Amino acid sequence: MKRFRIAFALVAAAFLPSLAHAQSPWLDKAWVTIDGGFQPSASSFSAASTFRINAEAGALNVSYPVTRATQLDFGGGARVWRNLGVGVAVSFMTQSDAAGISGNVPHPFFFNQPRSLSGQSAALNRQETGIHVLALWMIPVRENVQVGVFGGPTYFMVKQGIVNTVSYSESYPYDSVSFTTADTADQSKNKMGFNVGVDGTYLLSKSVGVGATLRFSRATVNFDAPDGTAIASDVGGVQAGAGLRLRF
Amino acid sequence: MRRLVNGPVVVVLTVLSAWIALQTRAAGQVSARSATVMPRTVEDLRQWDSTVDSMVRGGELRLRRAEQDTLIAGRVHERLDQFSHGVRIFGGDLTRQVDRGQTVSIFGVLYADLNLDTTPGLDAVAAQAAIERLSGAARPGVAPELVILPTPSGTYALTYTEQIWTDTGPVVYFVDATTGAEVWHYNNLQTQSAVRSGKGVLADDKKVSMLATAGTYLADDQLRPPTLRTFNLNGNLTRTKQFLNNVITLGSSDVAASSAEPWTDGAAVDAQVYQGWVYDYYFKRFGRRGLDNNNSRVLGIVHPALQSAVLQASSSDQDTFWLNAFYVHPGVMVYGEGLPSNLTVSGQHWTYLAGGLDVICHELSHGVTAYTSNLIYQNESGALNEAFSDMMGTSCEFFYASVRGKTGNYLIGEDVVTPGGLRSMADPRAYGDPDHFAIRYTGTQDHGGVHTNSGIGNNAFYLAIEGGRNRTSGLAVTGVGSANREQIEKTFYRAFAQLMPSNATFAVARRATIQAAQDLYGAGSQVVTAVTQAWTAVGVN
Repeated sequence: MKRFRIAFALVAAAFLPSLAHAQSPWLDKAWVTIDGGFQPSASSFSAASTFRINAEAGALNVSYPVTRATQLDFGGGARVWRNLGVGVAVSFMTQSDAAGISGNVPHPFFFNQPRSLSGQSAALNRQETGIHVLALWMIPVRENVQVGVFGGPTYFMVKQGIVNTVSYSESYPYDSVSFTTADTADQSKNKMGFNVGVDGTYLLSKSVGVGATLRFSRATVNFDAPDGTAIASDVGGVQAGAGLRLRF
Repeated sequence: MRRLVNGPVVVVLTVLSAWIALQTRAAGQVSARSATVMPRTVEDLRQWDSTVDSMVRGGELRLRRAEQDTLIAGRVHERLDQFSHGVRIFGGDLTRQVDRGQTVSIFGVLYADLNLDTTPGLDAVAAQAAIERLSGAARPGVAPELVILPTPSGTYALTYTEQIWTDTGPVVYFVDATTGAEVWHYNNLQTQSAVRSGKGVLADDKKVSMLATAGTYLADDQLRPPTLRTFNLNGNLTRTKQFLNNVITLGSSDVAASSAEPWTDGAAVDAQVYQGWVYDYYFKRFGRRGLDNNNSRVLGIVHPALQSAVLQASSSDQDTFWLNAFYVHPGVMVYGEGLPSNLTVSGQHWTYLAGGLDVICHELSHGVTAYTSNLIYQNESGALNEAFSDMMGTSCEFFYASVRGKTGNYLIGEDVVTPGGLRSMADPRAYGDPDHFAIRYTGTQDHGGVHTNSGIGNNAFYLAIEGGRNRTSGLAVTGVGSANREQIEKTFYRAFAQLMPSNATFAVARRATIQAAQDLYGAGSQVVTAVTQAWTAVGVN
């Protein structure tokens, strides 16, 4: 969150000197944005579970990294009243990372002598699609510079590979175990969240320009763990993009 | 009944042996008939081959896998599944062995009269939810398979099936494809090994490696390489003697068993557990695989007599089956029953002998001796035989100190004969045993004092590890220290199991252990010094 605040401040600072003088009317009827961008923040989520084997409880932890990823972002909207517009943007991000697996497997012969297990799953795909409904207040800073601040609800559609079972091998005298495979399956979850952000546009002509968007969106989805519990994962985050701006 | 092809086809009603919770016929079920395919003549084979090809072309058989024969070059083994209207028939499949285009054999089971409507009333998501409800477990993201299930009552059922992991292992469920009701399930756990909890003689918690069978668990270790089994003779002394005299054999009904958890027959629990631990000790410490180093069997016997019947037994039987544990070659252990808590011998209580790890390791080490040096159980070689078993028994105790939560010691049998145990390796004289060659027993009782004169070798072993002074000679020994006890254990094991002859004397034992120490740690090593000093201290030169 701190990183987002800093980035937001930088974007705002670039335009603020002019904002003080600017409250001229926004005359465009509609807009379109087409951006390429990335989610700069890395995060992770994890699933901890216990199981019973060899007359004793064991533990398993699966850590799912969510690393930086590029994204596509496009949207559009229309001015509805003075400098206020409403629109929708769609962001799409995909990435692939292996989940880290660690755990303790009870020894078959002794209590309290767990054997450590560690390994990695195959690369798990994660796709996040965000449909951002937004209200935008556009501030024409100069004749060819516009700054808009926006916010609204976001509908997230997330598809994530989840580890269902973990296999290991062992042999006499069973003092260690070796990770062999992780059985995974994709899960899809949808969740409503929110988005806020700022967009800056530099118009090269009356209807074509370039611009940049900084958006923070967030929701938390719950994937299904094999033991019936929920695996919470944050979706969205800071999203930065730049690209084409069209005005009508 | 419809025959699939002409020829002597064996047609039988399918009987699947493991049906559980089979429910009454549900809507959409039709009568099931099956044919066992195993052509016996060339002509039959040719006809079946043609039929199989025809069914493949018609989509009734689909190739699941084709594998190259790893034993006969050029041959391929095909596995084909039977389908009806695109839905697989559970259990309907066959194999075809092909040698460079020529079919060699066909085996399988095919189903007939398949006019079942294969349109499911439920989709896969609803079926998955039904399976999760039944199993109490979840397997998200996995779709169950729509299959036709032939039932033992001679019907077909359109079902969804999926294997799901439950508290009892991997269970394969079949639910009705219209109602979601369970049609059948079976546990797909491929091994019969089970680890159960139990309470030992001293009420300590242990894990027992057992054999799972029909809801009961038998004391038959499935995890270790050799046969490690414990029999419960339920106090029937007559049968015990008959078995030891080879009059009867023991069967699976004699194997100690439990369906409860934790298992509370302390003698059986400890016998089964400690037999495994002793095997592990020899393997981990010396790389030895069991008594004969070739994973020979170990059969333990608990409750050879009835504890409460001790006063009715002869003195000889009391000494053998109540107040003793003994090894019978090859690989049979009998663990004495001990005494009721209100009886003592010389002020000592005796509980089930299986409760002593050092006792069990001691007795099994007699088996190692029997397979190796075979020290003659008389006079000095007999005393060395006993001493080696005490050394290994005590070493086992130290080896498992951390998992037992109990420090090892140099007493023998102190866990089951209380207070004090049977012998002391640190101070044999405290128990009336000699700790020096000069005061050895020279009579004829107890095979020339094998359980008495073992104190001489025992004390040498103790001094070589811990150091100190021999009580009789007063000579000091610089031991290797408890942290290095493994060096002395290996030295004595090497000498006793690999270097010594069957009629070894104490003098030979001295020379053999020094030789072993030189072999393992070098001529000028601290181990050689410790061993040499130790034998000198106990008067063996």
